[in-house]
Amino acid sequence: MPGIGEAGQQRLAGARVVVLGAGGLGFPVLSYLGAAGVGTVVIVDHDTVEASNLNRQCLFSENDIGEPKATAAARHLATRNSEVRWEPVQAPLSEDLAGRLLVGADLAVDCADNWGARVVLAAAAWRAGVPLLHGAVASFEGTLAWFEPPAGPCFRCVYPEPRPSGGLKPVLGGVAGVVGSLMASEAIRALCGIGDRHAGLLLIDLERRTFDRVTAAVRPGCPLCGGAGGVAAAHSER
Amino acid sequence: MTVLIKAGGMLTDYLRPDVDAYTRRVEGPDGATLRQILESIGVPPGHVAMAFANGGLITLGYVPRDGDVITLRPPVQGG
Repeated sequence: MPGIGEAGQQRLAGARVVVLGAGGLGFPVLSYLGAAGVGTVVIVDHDTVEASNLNRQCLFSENDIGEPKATAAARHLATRNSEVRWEPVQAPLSEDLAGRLLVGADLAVDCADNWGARVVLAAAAWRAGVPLLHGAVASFEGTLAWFEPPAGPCFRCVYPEPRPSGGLKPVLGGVAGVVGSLMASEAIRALCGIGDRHAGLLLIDLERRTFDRVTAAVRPGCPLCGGAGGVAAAHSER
Repeated sequence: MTVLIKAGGMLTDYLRPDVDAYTRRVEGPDGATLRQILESIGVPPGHVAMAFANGGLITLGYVPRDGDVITLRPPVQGG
């Protein structure tokens, strides 16, 4: 395939990717990263499989209900590509854990389902100088964004604080599939060095059937990047 | 000043579209902020997680210009 070929395949085989969340977005991301031959994939998720997950988390079956998602996902994915090193981590993501997992990482992928874990990963990735691919879904809508240090904007420039969402919104399975597949494509493209990374957001609305590319600006006073790229003092994050 | 405001999902109920299923035409006073405009038409600003116009993210303090097309987004935080 143009842009990948033998050299691209070697780059994928030598890559280490940390994926936070083995849910609706994580399913296509992990599946396509594995199928593409990414060398090492760390799967971080502290949840267990529930029946309500099965509309969109197609890595799992009814037989997996009650099992930790990270280990169940790694077990299923290993049957599809045993040459990938799957590293399941069943633990809440702390800054310390994230920092350790990101050592040597080429890419961090945010497929989380909660604000706290997203902030922890974003901060750790920014400080480690690791590009962050962010994705989120709710109902018919999705967001995809790249945050690449040291140039801003960073995650916290775009998301200075959580907005009340009234709890987790139900997600149509296909919407998570579309957004997660886009994330997988972006990840593989970036790992192979194909094209550029749009410093902004792709805002997807599959009810209105719109895809909008929008730019974001560095936010003055940002607690993570300091509002001018770079890294703000660590204490300002706490 | 006339602007078109678009929204999907739960924000559509607040917006009460009149142009198409997702769009409302709003006549506003020059100099009004997006927050003021939303409050005047019954869209709670606190339910808007993100807004964009002219290819870029905007804040609720943005002062729309005549002819702007502004899209509102609810919180999108799931995975």
